[in-house]
Amino acid sequence: MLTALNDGETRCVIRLEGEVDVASAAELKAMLIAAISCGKELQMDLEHATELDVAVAQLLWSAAHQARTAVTAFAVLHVSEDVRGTLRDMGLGDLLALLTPPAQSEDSVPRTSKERR
Amino acid sequence: MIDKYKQAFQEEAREILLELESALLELNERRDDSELVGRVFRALHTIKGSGAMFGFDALAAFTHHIENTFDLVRNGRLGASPELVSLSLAAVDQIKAMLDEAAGQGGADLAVSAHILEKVRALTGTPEPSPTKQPAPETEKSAASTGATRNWRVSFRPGPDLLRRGANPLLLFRELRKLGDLQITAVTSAIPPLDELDPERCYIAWTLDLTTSADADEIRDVFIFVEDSCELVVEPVLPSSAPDSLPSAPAAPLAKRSDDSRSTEQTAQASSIRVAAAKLDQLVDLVGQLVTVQARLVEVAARHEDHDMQAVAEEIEALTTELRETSMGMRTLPLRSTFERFKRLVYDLSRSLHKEVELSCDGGDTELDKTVIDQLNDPLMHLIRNSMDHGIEAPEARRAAGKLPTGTIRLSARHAGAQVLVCVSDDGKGIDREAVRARAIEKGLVAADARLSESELFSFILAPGFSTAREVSNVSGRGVGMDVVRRNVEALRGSIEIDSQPGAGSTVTLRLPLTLAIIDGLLVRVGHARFVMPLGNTVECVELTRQDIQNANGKHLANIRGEIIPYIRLSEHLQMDTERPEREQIMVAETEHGRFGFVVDQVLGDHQTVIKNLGRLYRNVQVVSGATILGDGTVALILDLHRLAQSVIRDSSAHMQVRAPCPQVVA
Repeated sequence: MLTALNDGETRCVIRLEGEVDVASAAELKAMLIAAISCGKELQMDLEHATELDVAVAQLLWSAAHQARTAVTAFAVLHVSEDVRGTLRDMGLGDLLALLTPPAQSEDSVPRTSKERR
Repeated sequence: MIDKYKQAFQEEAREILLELESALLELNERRDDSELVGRVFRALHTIKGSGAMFGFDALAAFTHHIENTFDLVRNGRLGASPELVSLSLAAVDQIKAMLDEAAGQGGADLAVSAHILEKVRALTGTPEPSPTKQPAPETEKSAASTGATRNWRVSFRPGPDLLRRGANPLLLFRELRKLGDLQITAVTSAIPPLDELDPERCYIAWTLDLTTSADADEIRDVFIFVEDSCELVVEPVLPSSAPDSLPSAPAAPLAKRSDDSRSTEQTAQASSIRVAAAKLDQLVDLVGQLVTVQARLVEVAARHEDHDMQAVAEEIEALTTELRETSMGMRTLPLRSTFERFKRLVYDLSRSLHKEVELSCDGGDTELDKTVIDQLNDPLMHLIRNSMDHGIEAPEARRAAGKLPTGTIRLSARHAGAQVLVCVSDDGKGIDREAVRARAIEKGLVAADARLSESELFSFILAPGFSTAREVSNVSGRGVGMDVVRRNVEALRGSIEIDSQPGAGSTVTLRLPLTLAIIDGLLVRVGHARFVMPLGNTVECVELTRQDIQNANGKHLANIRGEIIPYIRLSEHLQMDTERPEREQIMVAETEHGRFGFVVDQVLGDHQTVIKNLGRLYRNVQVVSGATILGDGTVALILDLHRLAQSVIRDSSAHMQVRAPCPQVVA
């Protein structure tokens, strides 16, 4: 399930729950584009996501890169262990690194891509 | 979109199950044939792998156990015993039931799955797996670890539609991981910016480094269901420290050979597509309408004497003919797969009737319109059941009769003009003529003192509710089966011939039209009426003069280059009030009763004939097989030349020399 939350003036949170796959990919893409284009800080909440498929992974990959280009803050909150495992199984360990900086612990406050810069 | 591919999986799985069933039945006869074991294993592997990919988890898990069992057979650790074949056939039925359930047709009893797996475990001596674990990857690992391990590099580049087809690369990688140690590297360079990204298209490719004892084909088998929608390269990785030593050198060509063969296969696969039968039916219907309109165009062009229009009409006629042949050819199938399906029926019935019976098939390449084949299944099933139950004797009785204990049922097919002959023969005890006669008298179908020809006697077998069986069994004896055969063959405008020799067996021949849609016909005129004769039956056209008639002393016989041919004057036979022209024409045709002539006033020419059913009202009109609409909008009847000949033989007491091959019964 996908949920987009406008958290105040400066932040937009997209929450993924359960199994999210190609069936929801078009909807997720629209949410990501809308969030990035409005210039708010974008946060992905993957705490309750149990499995992502390739379609979703490549969307996240593209969104993370686009956010960088657009100088939009982009962060991922609480990547669940299931999702970590799934991404690793897809050979997308790099995506994990991109989404969650290595220095950051799981429960720490996420830094945005702006802050990383 | 994904549902569409799930449906495609179901269709393909059913086809693979047919292949699996066939391979299992062959394996039952040739238990040491490793190629057959490989066929069984591969079919199971494909069903399991693709089933898992499309979310048929229960089906995949169940199939996985059977696949593992055949892995043991493949590795020589288990024999292909009759019990294993029997259990595997039961497993095939259960997988079919699971597919039916997924398609919303009935339900699969999970207790049956459990029962089959329990028996399989008892046979293989393997313990029951923990229900919480993934189904037994151990067997595969152990199988994979029997040889020396090698390093392989797999380059996997999915096609753009892979995700739309419901395929999930993750499941492939998990499957691949079961073969050995796997390192996965995703190639993400092709992922476009977000606004250009098609969310259902796969942009990622993978490089997979695998250390395993499995060979290239086993690795490729993991990708078997997606191989037509991806680029796949499987290459052995030579150790970097090793020089170009001789032992490792052959490895690359080996993998290359495999790649080449796959590549050829892929090219072959890419050249065919799956089309719903309903679409083909629609196409043939449309072509039928086009043929009718084209005939009108030819008619109009001729009436207006406009040469330009006639030239266009001729061109359209040629194109329509080609289109008709192409579209009809697309709906034509060989009978082989229909025949193969009955192997299972014979296997099951042999066991339940405690008889030893082999099914042999000839002429499986004979092609027939799919609509005819679809209606052929039931008649063939009933004929085989009858042969198994009433024809073939028990082994002891066969031995006592000096026969081999194993009986044979032979299914055969061959073309005969515009028709196909499908025969079901057995080497059993034959039809008990006296029992048939007694039963016919008992049922009041015939007087006790009636003198009946063999064909008349056998025709009672086709009557509804007629059975000579003293007891009704699960297989036959209710007198329903042969009635079904008669009705289905009647609906196809076919005929049935029965031949039987006491103690030697029986043969039932179904004479069926090649198609029920469009045929090449010959348009003829009798008086003011026009008729179509199927061109496939006709041999030649000769003139019949008054002198010829006088020479035959009024008998309906023509001397054609020394051969005496009996003929039927259609105007007389159809009781048409017409004047006989000075010169008539005889269309000579091959019928099931030998060569016959059909006298008409004039042969008008070839005609693409779209067959229209005459409906139930005319079903008893035996000599007409349908009707067609001509270019001027009038209707021409299509003559059934075989039945015309038959009706003359029945009605006439003339001493015609008819070459009848065997007693005939027309359904």
